[in-house]
Amino acid sequence: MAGHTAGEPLECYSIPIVLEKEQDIDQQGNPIRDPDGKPRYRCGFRIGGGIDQDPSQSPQGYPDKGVYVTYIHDNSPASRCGLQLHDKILQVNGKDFTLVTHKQAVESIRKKPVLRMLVYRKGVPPLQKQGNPMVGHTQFQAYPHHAPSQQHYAPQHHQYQPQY
Amino acid sequence: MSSYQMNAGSGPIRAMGPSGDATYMDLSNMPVDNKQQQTMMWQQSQYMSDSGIHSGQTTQAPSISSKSQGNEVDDGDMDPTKMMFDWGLGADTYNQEQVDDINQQLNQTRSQRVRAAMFPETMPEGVQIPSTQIQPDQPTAVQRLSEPSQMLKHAVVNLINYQDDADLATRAIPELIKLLNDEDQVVVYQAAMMVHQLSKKEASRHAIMNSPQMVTALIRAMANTEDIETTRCAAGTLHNLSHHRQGLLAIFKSGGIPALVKLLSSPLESVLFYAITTLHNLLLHQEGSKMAVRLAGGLQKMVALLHHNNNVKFLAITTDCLQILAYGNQESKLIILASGGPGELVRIMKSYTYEKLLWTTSRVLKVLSVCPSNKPAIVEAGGMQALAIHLGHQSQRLVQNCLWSLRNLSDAATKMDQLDSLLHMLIQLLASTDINVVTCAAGILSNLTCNNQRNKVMVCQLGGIEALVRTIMQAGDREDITEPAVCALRHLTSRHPEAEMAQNAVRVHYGLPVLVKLLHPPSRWPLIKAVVGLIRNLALCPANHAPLREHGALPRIVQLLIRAHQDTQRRASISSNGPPLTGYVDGVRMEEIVEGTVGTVHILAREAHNRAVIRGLNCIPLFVQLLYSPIENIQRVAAGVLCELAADKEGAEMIEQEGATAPLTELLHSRNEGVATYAAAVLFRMSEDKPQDYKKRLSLELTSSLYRGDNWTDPPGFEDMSMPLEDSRDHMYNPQASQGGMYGHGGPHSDMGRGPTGYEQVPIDSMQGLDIGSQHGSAYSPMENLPDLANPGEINFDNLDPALGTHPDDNPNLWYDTDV
Repeated sequence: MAGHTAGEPLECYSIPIVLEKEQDIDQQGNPIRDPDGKPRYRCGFRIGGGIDQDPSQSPQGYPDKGVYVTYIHDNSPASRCGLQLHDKILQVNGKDFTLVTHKQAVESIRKKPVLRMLVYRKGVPPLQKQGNPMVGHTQFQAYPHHAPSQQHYAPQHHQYQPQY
Repeated sequence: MSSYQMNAGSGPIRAMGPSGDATYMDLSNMPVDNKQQQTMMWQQSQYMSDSGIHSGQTTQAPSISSKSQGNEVDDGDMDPTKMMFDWGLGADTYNQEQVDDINQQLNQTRSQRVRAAMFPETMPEGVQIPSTQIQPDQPTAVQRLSEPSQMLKHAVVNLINYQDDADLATRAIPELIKLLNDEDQVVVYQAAMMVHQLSKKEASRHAIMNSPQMVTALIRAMANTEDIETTRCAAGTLHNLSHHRQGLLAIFKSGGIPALVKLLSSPLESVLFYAITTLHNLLLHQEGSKMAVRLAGGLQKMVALLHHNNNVKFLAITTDCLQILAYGNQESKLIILASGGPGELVRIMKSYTYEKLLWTTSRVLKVLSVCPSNKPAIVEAGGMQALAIHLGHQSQRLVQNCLWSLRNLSDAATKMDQLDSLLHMLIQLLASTDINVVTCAAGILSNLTCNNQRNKVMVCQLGGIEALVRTIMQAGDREDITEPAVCALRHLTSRHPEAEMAQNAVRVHYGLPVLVKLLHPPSRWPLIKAVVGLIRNLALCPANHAPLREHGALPRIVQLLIRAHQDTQRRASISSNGPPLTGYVDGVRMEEIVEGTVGTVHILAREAHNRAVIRGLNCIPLFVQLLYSPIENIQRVAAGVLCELAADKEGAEMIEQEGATAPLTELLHSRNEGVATYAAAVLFRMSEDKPQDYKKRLSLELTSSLYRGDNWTDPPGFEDMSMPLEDSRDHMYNPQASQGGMYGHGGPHSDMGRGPTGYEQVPIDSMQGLDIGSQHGSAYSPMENLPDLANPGEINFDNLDPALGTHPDDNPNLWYDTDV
């Protein structure tokens, strides 16, 4: 999948991953809490991209406006759950991630303590329309995704600054 | 009596005494142009009849005798065969016996003369030796050899001593090592003192240096003793050793650095002096010292020393150490910051006048000023004002370092208020003959005037416009100077109370021709972009329209627009199958040029003549095409220029013929208020001579689309764009471009040019003035109620603060990742 245009239909194999977050603790081992008292969780990875970002500016050279995993911290839930660097996140807890802004993606991820994700990883064989499912690759699950009927796209960044 | 005759020609005069070739005066370099002169010279010396023993006068070689009446020498009729020699007062002729006598005396005293020349200290008092010097300014051979022979004597003496010293030291050192390691403090003290004495002389110093156990023992004694005198002696010894390469190596290897750093807390001033000077030498010449000093906590101690000391030389050495340690090392800079370095350094700049100290301190500030954490601290401590004090100093190196530091700091100082004296100095420095000074001054002014009304007004009032225009004229094609100067003018010509005065002032000081010239080669894109923006501002002043037109600004700007546009089209067609190519040329995007040029043409189109020219240049198709651009800013400026052009009937017709109606109608629905407003205005003007019901329908549609509720609030997701002002920066100076000595020197500029457009200031009332569908014949009067449509262009902010050391790729707005 060399770059998928957001909003168009997409069918591919994806990898299901379950990530259980851990409580964020400080150096003494005390749990860190949000300002409103709720405990904070961390997943241990970084995401980049989104419909409102320009992938040509990404240092990793991502081909499209999807949400990608740009870093995985050592010794973290992310490193333990099977997530890998440069995975493209297609869905999190049922929410489609091919048509979200960066901020929306971050918010969705932070919502729940357990993430059930579907990711696309380079090297996954392309979905074959006719005939036999892949033998021996049962961890892939076909990911039929059809464009939602949104007309409204999150706005582009202003690129140019009048200098007056 | 016989008389000896002197040859008329020159020649050495030989003593003809019984000893053969003895003293021999080389008179061959006497001027012997004519015989009269020669004899005159002879005459000038005074010969006593007593051969000069008592008078100390030189005597002539005894082989010469004379006849009297040397006065006759002046006559022109001297017989060359009979040179007469005047022996001075009461000259008598000497007979042979007397001559022999004199000869003998001179011979006997010869050895005295030689001894006196070589060993003057051995001569007994009061002895007069007959001298053989004839001319007061012509030394004898012995005299001329006296100085070299004395030097030789000293050398031999030194050698003899040296040998002694070396022997002594070699025998004594093992003993001294043992004593230094003794338990009894008094013994240690005595041993240390002895070693200190030895270290003052060269041979023994070398012996000490070459003995690692000795150096180790010294350092240990220094570190462990409680007796401050011992410490002082040991420190003094190390100080002496530190003037030699082997000494430095020996100190370093024996772990001297941590011990010396510890000494920096000593209460005794001489110990402090020894310690800091030794450390300074180590830092300068010994590999690995920097790391060792850092590890030993030297930085914190040195910063603390700045606070407690008043000795200017001491402070100079300490600040130089700080500079060596901090250069190129981010961690050191942070440690200095944490220890309160900026405050101390600024205080020094304010309080002292010793040039060397000011210079070393300014270098530390320069090194720190590129660190993003140190910058705000320095500015807050009053660094800008402190550095500004010295901009008029005689010392060029001090002025240059202050300027570099100021330039690095200037982007963090745009909110500062008490910079008036600095601005004043900078304007004066623009007239300097030193290119580096002018470059820095222009750059600092450009940054300080960015978005700061007070500074803008102050610079205008201080004659900054004239100075900048003159600078641009004199800079020729040196873009390092012209670009920041043009940017400064651009800032000064908009968005402050004196902007109009500034726009006029540029014209008055003959700035327009040179600026239009800068639009042509060899100017590169960053400069062109800046000039285009400045011309846009200048065009806000109606008096500038005619001169700008006369100098051919408009055709050239249109030419640039076409070129930039073609470039963007080319990139778009190449990348139609993949992600969009963002093309930077010289660090500038062609889309920015398109936007800038169209914006400028927009303002220029306010004047009727210019509109005719624009129509003549066949730009309208291009503007209509730009309406289709995906970039909102370009849509806005394109709609804006069409709006102005549509003010003329021919313009309106041409626009309609190009099929602008369709894209304009589309743009009515744009969530960008400026775009929608301009689009509506163009459509309205184009509809001037359309049938009435068309107008009515149009007006309904216009008002409905413009008053659509969600168009006037922030569109949903606007806050997603998260473009805080601080991130929208013009990248001006890259001080870390090279660390090879030009630290802080300006590098190429790369423009990022982004930020909020500020359209929220378009007044809602602008369209309410539209008397659309009116019964009046002329449709143009209602348009007078739309003065504010011109304003959206002016609301735009200046280039905001430059961010040092970041690259366009690091711009967080385009693509960033978040930790979850």
